[in-house]
Amino acid sequence: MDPEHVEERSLDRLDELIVRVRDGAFDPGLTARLEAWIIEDPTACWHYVQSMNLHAGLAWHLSDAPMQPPDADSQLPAAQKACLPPFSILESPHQILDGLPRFGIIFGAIVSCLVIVSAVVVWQTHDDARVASASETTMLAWCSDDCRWARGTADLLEGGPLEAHQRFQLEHGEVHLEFPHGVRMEVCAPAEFEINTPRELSLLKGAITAVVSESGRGFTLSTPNGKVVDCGTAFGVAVDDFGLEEAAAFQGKILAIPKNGPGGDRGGQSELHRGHALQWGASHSLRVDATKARFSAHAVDWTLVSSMLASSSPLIADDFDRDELDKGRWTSLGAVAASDGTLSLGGGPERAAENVPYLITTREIDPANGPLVITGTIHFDKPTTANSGSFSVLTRAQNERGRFPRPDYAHLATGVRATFWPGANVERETMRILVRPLAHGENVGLLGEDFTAGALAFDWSFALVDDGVNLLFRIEQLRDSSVQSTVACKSLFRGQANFIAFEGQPYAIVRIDNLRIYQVAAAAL
Amino acid sequence: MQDDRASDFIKLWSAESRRVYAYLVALVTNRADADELFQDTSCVLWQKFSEFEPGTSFRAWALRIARNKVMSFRQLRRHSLEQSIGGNEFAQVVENILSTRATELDVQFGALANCLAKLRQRDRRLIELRYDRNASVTAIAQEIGRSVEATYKALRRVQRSLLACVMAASA
Repeated sequence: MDPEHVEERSLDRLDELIVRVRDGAFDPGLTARLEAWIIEDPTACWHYVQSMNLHAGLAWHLSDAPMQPPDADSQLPAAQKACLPPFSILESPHQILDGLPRFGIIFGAIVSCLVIVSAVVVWQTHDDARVASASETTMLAWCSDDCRWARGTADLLEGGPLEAHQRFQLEHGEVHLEFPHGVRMEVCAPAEFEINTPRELSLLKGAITAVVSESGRGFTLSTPNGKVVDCGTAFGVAVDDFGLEEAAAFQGKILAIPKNGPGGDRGGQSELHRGHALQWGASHSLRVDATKARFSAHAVDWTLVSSMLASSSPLIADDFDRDELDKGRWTSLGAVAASDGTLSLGGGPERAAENVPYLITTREIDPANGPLVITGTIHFDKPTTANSGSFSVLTRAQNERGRFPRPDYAHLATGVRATFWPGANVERETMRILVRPLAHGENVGLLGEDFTAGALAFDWSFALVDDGVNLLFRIEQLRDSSVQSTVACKSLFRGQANFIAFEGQPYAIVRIDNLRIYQVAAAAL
Repeated sequence: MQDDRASDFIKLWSAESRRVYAYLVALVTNRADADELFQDTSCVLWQKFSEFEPGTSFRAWALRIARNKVMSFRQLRRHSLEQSIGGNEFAQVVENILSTRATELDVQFGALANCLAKLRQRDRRLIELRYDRNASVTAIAQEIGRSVEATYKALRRVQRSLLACVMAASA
C-alpha cells in the first residue's frame, strides 16, 4: 500500500472520529484517542483545525438570520443604561455592525449582553418568572445604587456574567447573584467571594443569604474554616474579620461542617433545621438561634449615625457632675473615681496589671435589640506618649474579670473591645478592635491602623457603633476635628452577657468627661 | 473618551471574533456550547477591555480569555468531562496552530462562500438544514425522506467536498 493511500485512510478515520465527537456521539475511549492523536500528530492536528474551521465557518456563514438591532436605550430603565456595553452609546448599532463579516453571531453576542441586562428587569418585576438560566453561568442579577467593588475587581455589569475562579470584593452596597439550578443569593458589603462552580461558592469574608430551589439542592458554600451544604432551603452564612463563622437555616435544613468541629476534621457535621444556627471558630463551635438580620446587616455609615443622633434620646447620659458614681447606672472594678466633673480610670494606689480599671453598666444592653451608639469625650493626663495609657469601649461584655492563665491583664472575661492607644507607636496613635470570645481565653484578631495626631493631643471624642455584627470605632481630636480616624469591622461573636464597659490602664489616668449610650431602631441604620 | 474606547473595541473585535469562534468550536466541538461560550467571551472581553494593553496582540489576549472560559466551562461541567475533548495541552496545541497558520485558515474561510456556491442544490440544502436551522441529523433525515445513516453519510460527503475546496484555495 502506498504511503499516500495510508495517509488517506488515516484521515478518513480521523474524519470519522471528528464527526462523531462533533455530533455528540461521545465515548470516553473515542475522545481520548482523538485527543491523543491530535496532540501527538501535527498532520492530524492541522486536519482537525481545518475541519473545525470549516465547521465554524459554516455556522458563521449560514446561521445568519437577519436581526434587527434592538433599540436598547428605549427598552432599558435608566439605572441599567449605565451598565450597558458601548454599543448602546454609539449612535447607531447598524453603523457599527453593517461592516462586519458575520453580522448575526457578532450581533448576537452583543445582543446577549443586552438581553442579560434586560433580564434583570424581568427578574425584578416578575417574581414567578425567575427561572434559572439554562446556561451554567452565574449572573450578577442586581446591584444597589450605592454598590461599589474594590479596586482591582473587574468591571462588572448588572445582568452580566460572573467568571468562575475570580476573586470579587464588594466594598459597599448590596448585590444579588443568580446561579444556575435555581439558587439566588444576596450579598452585603463588605464581602469577598469567589465562584467555584455553579453549585459552589467560596465566601472568604462577609455575609450572604441564599434561597435554593429543589433543583439547586446540594449547593455548597465553602468558608475558610468549614462549609455549608444546602438541603433545599433558605439559609445564611457569614464570615467575620476574626475567624468566626456562622450558618443559619431560615427554612428547611442545612448541614454545617466546621473543619475543626466537635468530631474533629472528619466528624464535625451539624444538621441545622429552621430557626437554628451554628457559630464556629478555629477551635470551638456554639449552637445559637438563627437571626436573619445578622446576615443582611450593612456596614455602619457614620454620616447616617451622626445625623440621627441629634434627634435621639440616650438610654444613659452622664456628665459625671457629682463626686460619686451613680450606682443606679454604673458599677466599677479597679481604680475608678468621680470628681471635679470627670470620671478617672486608673492611676490608683494599686497599679498592678490585675487591677485594670473598668466602668460598667449595671444592666445589659443587647445590640441584637437595636444598634448601640456610644459616644463621649475623654482626656489623657499625659501627652501622647507610650506611657499615656489607653482607653477602651467594650460591648457584648461580661461584668467580671476572666481568670486567665497569666494574670498580666485581668480583662473582662468576654467581649468585643475597641481600644484607642495614643502615642502607642512612636508618637503615632493606634486604634484596635479585638474580640475575646471565650472566657479565660486569648484575644482574637487585631484590626486598625495607626494615624498621626500631629501636635501633642490630650482631648478626644469617641464613638462606637455596634449593631451586633458590624462595629465602627471613631476617634476625633477635640481641638482639631480634622484629626480623626475610624476603624470598622464585622464580629459575629455573640456576648454571653451584654454589658457595656469602659476600660483604662492601671498605670496611667484617662478621664471621661461625659458618656452617652443610645440604642436606636435597627431600621434607622 | 468612552466612544473612542468602544470604537477601538469594535474594530479589534470585528477583526478577530471569527477566529475566536473557530477556536471555541475546535475546543468544545459542540456548536451550542461554542455559541454560548462565544457570547460569554465577547462580554468578558468588553468588560476587561480596559486591561488590554494597546500595541500588544488583541488576538492572543482574546484567545487566552476564550481558553479560560472553556476551562471554567469544563470545570463547571466536570460531571461530563469524560465526554468532552480537550484539556490544557490540547487547547495549547490548537491555539498554536490557529496562530501559526492563521493566514491559511483565513483564506479557507474567505473561500467558503465560493465553495458553497459550487455545491449542487441538493447538497447545499443539506448544509443549510444542518447549519442554518441547526437541525439534528435525525430531523434532516425525516425532512429529506432518507435514513439517518444515509443522511449522515451524505453530510460527511458534502463536508469533505467543502473542506477539499477551501483547502485547495489555501494550497
